Amino acid sequence: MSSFSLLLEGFAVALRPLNLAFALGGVGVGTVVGMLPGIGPINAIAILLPVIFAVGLPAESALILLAGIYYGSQYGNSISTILLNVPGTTSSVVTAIDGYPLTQQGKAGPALATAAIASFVGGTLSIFGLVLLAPLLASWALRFGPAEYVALMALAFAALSSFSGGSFPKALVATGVGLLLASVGLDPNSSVARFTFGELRLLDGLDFVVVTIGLFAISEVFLLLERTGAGEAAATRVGRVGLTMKELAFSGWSMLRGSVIGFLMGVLPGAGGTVSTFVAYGAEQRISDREGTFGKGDLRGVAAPEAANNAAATGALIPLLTLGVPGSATTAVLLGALMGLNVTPGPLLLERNPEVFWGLVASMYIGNLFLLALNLPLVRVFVRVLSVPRWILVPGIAALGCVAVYAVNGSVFDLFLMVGFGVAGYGFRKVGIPLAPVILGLVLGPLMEKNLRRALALGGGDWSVLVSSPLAVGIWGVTLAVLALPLVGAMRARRQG
Amino acid sequence: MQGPFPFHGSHPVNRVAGAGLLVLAAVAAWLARGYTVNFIADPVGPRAFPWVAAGLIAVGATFMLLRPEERAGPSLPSGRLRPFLLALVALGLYPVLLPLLGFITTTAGVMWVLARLFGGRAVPSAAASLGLAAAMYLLFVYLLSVPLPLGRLFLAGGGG
Repeated sequence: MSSFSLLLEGFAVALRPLNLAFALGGVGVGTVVGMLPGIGPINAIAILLPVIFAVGLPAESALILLAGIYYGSQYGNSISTILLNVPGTTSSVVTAIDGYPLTQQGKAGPALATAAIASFVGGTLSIFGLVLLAPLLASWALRFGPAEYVALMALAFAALSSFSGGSFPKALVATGVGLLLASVGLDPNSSVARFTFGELRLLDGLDFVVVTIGLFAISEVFLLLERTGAGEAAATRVGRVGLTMKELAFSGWSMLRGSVIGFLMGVLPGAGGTVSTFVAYGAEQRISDREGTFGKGDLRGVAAPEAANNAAATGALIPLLTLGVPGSATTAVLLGALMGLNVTPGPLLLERNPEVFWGLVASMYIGNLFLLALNLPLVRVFVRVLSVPRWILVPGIAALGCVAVYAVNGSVFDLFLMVGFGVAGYGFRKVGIPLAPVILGLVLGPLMEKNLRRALALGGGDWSVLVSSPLAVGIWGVTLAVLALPLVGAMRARRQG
Repeated sequence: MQGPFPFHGSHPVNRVAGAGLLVLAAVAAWLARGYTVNFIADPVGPRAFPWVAAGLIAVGATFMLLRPEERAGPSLPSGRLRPFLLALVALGLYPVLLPLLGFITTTAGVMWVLARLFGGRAVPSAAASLGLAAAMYLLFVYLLSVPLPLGRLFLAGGGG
């Protein structure tokens, strides 16, 4: 296949010593920047982009650097999520559900290692998918209209009970709160200001970083304060650093399933990484959670979403490179980068600049490889963060969180909101209301609402438009199956017992 | 813990939280009732989602009020109130003082309060807080190009 030979040429470009250095440097810088709470891949890329342009690198080298930064910062996010329970991006939130309990049980090392390996598996498998399926998937993505997106969001919400942490009513409450938070601001469909109370600064809605840092990081400050006061140790114990082969084999299938789900969802513009992590976790929990360990520190609960979000990152390149349509904010920044480098993504990219496309694919693979090679041995270093005594660590995290929130808009109002969410998050966690569904509602709610109203507008108010295409019906079918699965399992258990 | 009918099985914390959440849902639904538009092309309207959200909260909260807890129940705050309030006040004052005193001073101050609350001794906490705040300022302003305030108090005096 000529694609394959072009891919080999791409590798030849990517493996030049200078480009290898860029890949390594990108991954390194990306990881460090990604570890800062609230700073996700898009911030890292956006911050470093002017530097890249100023230096005047050739297109392939710049892309290699960017790919390295992207993957590096995604993993850096996972580090701060797992170790400190501070998710920096929407796609890391699900990793916290099992990742942080693992840290609390002294298994931070295995959790980080699983995340690194799962990310590598997700990235690698999705690159195969990219090479083999790009044109096919691009045309498939084109068939996703508003009705299909509504069905997809319903599927993501159907995974909800997996995040309930044992109490479905509380998960409902959390999702409802998330949806309410998502409605704050100017409604895009009708320009009605919702829940703004006349406050101009709320017209744009609540920023994800403000809500997340408040709900997770600030609430963690209060929780740790209470625990330290109650006589708990002055620093979380580091525990075991290495990952056993048995644990790796245990989460192997989760990585595979997560990769497939992530890749397929990543292809869809707008849905992408975040939705895929929620669906991957939900699917994994339904398929493999026999003893109810998910949510309490199950490595598979880390493996599935981590594989998914890396696979989705690659999947998101498909609409970008084949159609010129950015699928997410990060790919939009990449689009800007590519255009700044005089490369115009789109159907003609493969004809005009095939070396850029395949160079990018090859460099992404190299980036993935470096991620694994660099970070696996460094797990023992990352875990050392935990042994920093709390009187230094916690104020440091709080301060970093404040900077991240302030950096969003330069507004102290956001800081007040952050503290408010911190108190709310503390309250939620004391009562036992899970936080992940809040983020689910916050992120997915607007997508679902926008698409629902668009679908109905296009259909002239007729609700049957939601099931009018075979694709939509198919997704609804999967949603119903996902909802029915635990019920079927319970009935079968009752019959046997 | 037996409560009065019909709250027999539910945990008292869940009862309080459930009641509070029901109030929240009611308030949200009431506020959203005015979010309407007049065009036919939007049958759902801007108040639908807030109502769905309020509905979810109400359903969940009702179950919380009435049902006994399935697995691990809520945990009551085990610490004293004072550290929490001190931390809250410090964090709450941070946005107020930030534009006045600038990043390094305000952040170091809040960090020092938190460090002391976590058992750090006065002098090492002050040193760590100032050091970290200064390092963060350099990192974000010079390396990452994120503007951080210098403080009106200092600027007015002729330099920061």
